[in-house]
Amino acid sequence: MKAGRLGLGAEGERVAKAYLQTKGFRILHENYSTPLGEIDLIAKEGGVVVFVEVKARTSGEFGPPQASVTLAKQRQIVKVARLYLQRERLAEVACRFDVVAVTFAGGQAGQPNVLLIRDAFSSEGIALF
Amino acid sequence: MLAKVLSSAVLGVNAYLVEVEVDIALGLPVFNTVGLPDTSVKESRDRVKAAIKNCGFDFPSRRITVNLAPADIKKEGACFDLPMACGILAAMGLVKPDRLKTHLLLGELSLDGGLRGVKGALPMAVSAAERGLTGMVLPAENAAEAAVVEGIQIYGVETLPQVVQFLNGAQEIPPTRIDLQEVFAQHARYGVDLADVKGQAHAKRALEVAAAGGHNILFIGPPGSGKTMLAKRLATILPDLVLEEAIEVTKIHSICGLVPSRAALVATRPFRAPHHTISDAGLIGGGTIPRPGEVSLAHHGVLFLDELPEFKRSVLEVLRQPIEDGIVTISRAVTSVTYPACFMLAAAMNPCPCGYFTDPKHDCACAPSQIQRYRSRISGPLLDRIDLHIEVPPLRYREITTESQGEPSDVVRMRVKGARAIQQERFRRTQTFCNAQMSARQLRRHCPVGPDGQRLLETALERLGLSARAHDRILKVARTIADLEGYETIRTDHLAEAIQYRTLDRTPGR
Repeated sequence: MKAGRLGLGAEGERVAKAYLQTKGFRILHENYSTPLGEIDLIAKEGGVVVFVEVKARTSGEFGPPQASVTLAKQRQIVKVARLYLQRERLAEVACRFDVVAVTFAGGQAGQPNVLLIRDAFSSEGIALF
Repeated sequence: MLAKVLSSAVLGVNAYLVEVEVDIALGLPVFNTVGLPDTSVKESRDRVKAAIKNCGFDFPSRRITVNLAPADIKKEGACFDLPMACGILAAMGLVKPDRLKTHLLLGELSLDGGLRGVKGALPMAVSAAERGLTGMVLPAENAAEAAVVEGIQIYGVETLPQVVQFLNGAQEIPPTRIDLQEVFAQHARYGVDLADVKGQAHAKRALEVAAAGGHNILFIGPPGSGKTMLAKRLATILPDLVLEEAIEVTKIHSICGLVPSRAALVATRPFRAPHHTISDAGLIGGGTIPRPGEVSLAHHGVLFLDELPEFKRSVLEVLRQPIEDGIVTISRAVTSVTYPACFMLAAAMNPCPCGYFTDPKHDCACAPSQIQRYRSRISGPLLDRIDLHIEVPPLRYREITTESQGEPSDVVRMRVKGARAIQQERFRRTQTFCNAQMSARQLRRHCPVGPDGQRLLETALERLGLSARAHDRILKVARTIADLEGYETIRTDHLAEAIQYRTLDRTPGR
């Protein structure tokens, strides 16, 4: 993968973080990394812990960015979220899974288009272990 | 954060109460359904989610657990959508719990929050009334059907928000009421009439005898001679259903979702004509969760089997128990249920594989061995239970074009009713209802034959090669014919008519 494409993801996360902060989210962790995988952003909105997956693309030509949050990816995020809740001893807390889709229509320099999808998916049908 | 909603499910012909418990807890968002739900119940979480959202409520992003109690009976169907949705809203505090304790909820949700009809509304209303609940909220489509039950208020609703408003007491819904007698009188009409059948006086007479004595009947004739048309009109000359019978019939139709939308009762005798490719489970009922089959749907009506020899042998053999006992018991690993199946059997067949054996205008292309094989597909024991075998000849041109109308069903039905009244008097204080069900003992007692008659019977048995089995059948049918004419004793002409209804017992060639 070219360096430019790695940069796209990082740029997307930066845009998403700024966007969420304007929306009143408090960012708890960035790139929360565990042996099971990674969660891009963990935030708090009101009393709800929000696990955020950020997806960035340079065009909508191959479908919107959120389309690539596949079932496998969702599973991975749910697993990491479980691990996070356990580590932080947060069993009795409301939580949610959001997706932030960032599209850089005119290349990375242009004005990004940001879409926040609240409660994008739930942990239904995903095995506990 | 816990809510309980009452709902119901069907087992056999009866319903039982189901408590839908909803718990909303913190934690990773999940929606779990427990209490032996089958796939259609599990799917309801997606409908419930969408319906709640599309009605302007917030769907909680929490850990939702739905329990369907009692937990040991498998639940199926979509009728738990509404109770689940109301349970979730109640657990969120959006619905007051007061009315949930006394009202039964039932209904399938569409994604926009509209309500769709469900199966089994009538038996569920019966069980709810028995349990002393005050009201029942269900889709408007099924309201009339449930309103047949007395002692419970039926509220027909169209949308989820309407239910929420009702449960919160913010909006009252007028309960559905129906005038049973009026509905009954209105719907007790058939779309067909015996007067539609041209010619075939002989077959019509046999039909009348069959209806009068509750005898099963078999039509034999070439294609296009009107066998099916005649059989369809058998139900129209049977005595009218009484209200209790109509409710029994409606219950079974309700379980199968066959009660027409917004209709209250099935007030006419059912006529069921399954195709000959039917399986035995389809005919007598079955499935892992048993469902009524065609014999139960024909309860208090007519089961018509067209092309009788084409049915699978095993399918025809399972018919024996319901014909004999009027009930069907289906035992499966999960449970065992009994459905009523008291019907009259009408069957039709061609005389030979090509169909033209008895047709004077066509040549039959079948070898005698073929004909024999064709006829032997119907087993003796089954044939034994069919009292009347009647040959239906092809119609002549003059008969087809004739303007003259035959007797209408109403007139024939009056005579049938008369004969049935005599039988009711005869079999008072016994388990027998009609002549066809007479035991050997009752046969000897009620069917005495004079010396002339005995001589005729003897000749018939010898000349036509009739069996002992046929002898008893002839007596029963003769008894019915005598009842129709209003005679106390069986006369020779009654016997003579009965003898010629035994076509298939004759040794071929005589």
